[in-house]
Amino acid sequence: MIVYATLAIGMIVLICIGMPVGFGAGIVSVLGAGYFFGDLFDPRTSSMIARLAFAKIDNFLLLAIPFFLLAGRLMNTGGITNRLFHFVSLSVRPFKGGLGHANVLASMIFAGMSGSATADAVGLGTVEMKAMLDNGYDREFSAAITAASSLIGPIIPPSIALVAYGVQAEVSVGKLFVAGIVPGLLMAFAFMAYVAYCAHRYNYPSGAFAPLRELLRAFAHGFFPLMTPVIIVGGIYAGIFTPTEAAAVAAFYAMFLGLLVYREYGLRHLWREIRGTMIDSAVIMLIIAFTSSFGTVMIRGQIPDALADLLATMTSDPTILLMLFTCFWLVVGFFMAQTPAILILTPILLPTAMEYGVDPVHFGVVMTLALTLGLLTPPVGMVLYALVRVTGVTFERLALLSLPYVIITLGCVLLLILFPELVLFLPRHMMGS
Amino acid sequence: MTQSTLGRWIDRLGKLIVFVAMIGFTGMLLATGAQVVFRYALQISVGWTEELARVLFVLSMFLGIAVAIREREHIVVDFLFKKLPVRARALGSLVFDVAILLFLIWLLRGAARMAEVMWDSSLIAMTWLTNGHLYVGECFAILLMMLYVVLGIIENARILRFGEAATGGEGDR
Repeated sequence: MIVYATLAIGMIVLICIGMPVGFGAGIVSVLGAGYFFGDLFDPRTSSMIARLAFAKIDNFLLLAIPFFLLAGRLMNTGGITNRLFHFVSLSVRPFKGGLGHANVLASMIFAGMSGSATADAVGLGTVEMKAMLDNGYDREFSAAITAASSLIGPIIPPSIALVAYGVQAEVSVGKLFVAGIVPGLLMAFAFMAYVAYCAHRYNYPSGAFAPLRELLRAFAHGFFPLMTPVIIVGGIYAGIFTPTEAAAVAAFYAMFLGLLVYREYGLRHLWREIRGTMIDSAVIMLIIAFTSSFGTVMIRGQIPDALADLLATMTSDPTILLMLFTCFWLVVGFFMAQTPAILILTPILLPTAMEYGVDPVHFGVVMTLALTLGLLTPPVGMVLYALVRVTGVTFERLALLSLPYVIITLGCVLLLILFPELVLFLPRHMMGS
Repeated sequence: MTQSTLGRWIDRLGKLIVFVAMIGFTGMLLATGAQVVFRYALQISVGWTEELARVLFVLSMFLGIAVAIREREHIVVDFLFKKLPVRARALGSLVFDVAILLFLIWLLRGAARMAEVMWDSSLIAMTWLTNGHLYVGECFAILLMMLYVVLGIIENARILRFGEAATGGEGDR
């Protein structure tokens, strides 16, 4: 057992000193399998890792990840974000700090199309920042709300992080998607409440009511993009599509809008986006392939059991357990991107949580949200890095400005831990137990 | 064969691999779309679309991993690493690349064995294809990964020897 624990720590050290995450997990898996079979050069050792890596990728559900990534990339470059933000900003213009609210709402709707916080930050963030600065909002407030609102992406369905968790935990991705709706809305509501507070305190502008004709025109322009979340989530919920098919439909729909309806790009651009998506997806698949081997090795080494025994000496309460895990996830989030962290930690922590009676859907949503915070915290906050160029605010300053939103999101995590029904109510009533 | 000729061939191979992986990627997207069209527009339930999409996905992802090694696109926690001076980074990359190369050699052995074991295990819908064939695809992708890791080792060795001048002043990749 000590050997396996040492290997787990060794993998974390390898990753922290700069070894590519997927290969770090692979190398440690080899050592663990070698120890298990008693000989590193036993043919069963290499066959086991090659077979596990292959079998994990050979999963139809995983195709949803590249398809959602492609849909997000195409939405960003197909003029869809502009139309979406224009409609939303007109709708909330009369409210004080209206563009701050529009920022959150547009991110929420965009989250229903792409499932990636970075895609939201880079694509929609550019449009949001320009609109807010043009309308007299100060740069720092605009940058912070743009960064924070992108955190809704990995929670509101579809979510690439939740697909990764679903594959690793063998939990229904459809259920996870539905379970993410209330937490996503809760976050959006909390962010908008804070925006309202700031708007009154700093006297941010409000605009006139948009004339009905202008509003209808903006709605007509934004209608097709606004339909994307309806097609994806409605299609999965109604049993029309599997999550993978819904992701493919989203990608085709984004192509249809960008190529034929809005004519924002041509086939050459599409080919470039497919290339980028293919590489991004392969990078994630490498991690999935070898973290699952790592998970298998850890389970054979009874690490989850040992962890459960250790935690049992501290608490027998599932709520306290989730709070302890949340502290751990916050620390992990400082150093590791969200999806790799989910892939590595799920096989180790989920069995322990299930022994405590925690529902795997609840566990997945709480873990995803807690690890999402890492996107806004230094030193590896990916959203912060993505937004430095977009916002013109330095990395350190942006991290500091995002702090109130980090605290708000942490409050949301706490609520989800204390009231599991916030996560479980919808999937139970919409999709059965 | 001169070094530049070899470099050109490696570049051509790289472009070919990217092209094949992208064709595979596009094919899996079309196959998944076709599955929906067959089911709802044509009212036909076909088994091969999902299998074809999965096969293309596995192959394009393994090739994509090789491309990502070539373009240094893999996810790395580098907040400590990038603070190091160029030569120290090159040394660290060199050590990592050697470890990855050993791992890949070891993985190739496992994949080759799996290809042998699964050679006659046909897929369900596309019976002309076996899991053994797919493991051969995995072996080919692993060989490509090894090639790109070796190239990375050579480049880092040059940086170690000549310092920043070897990178054209751009620092380590």
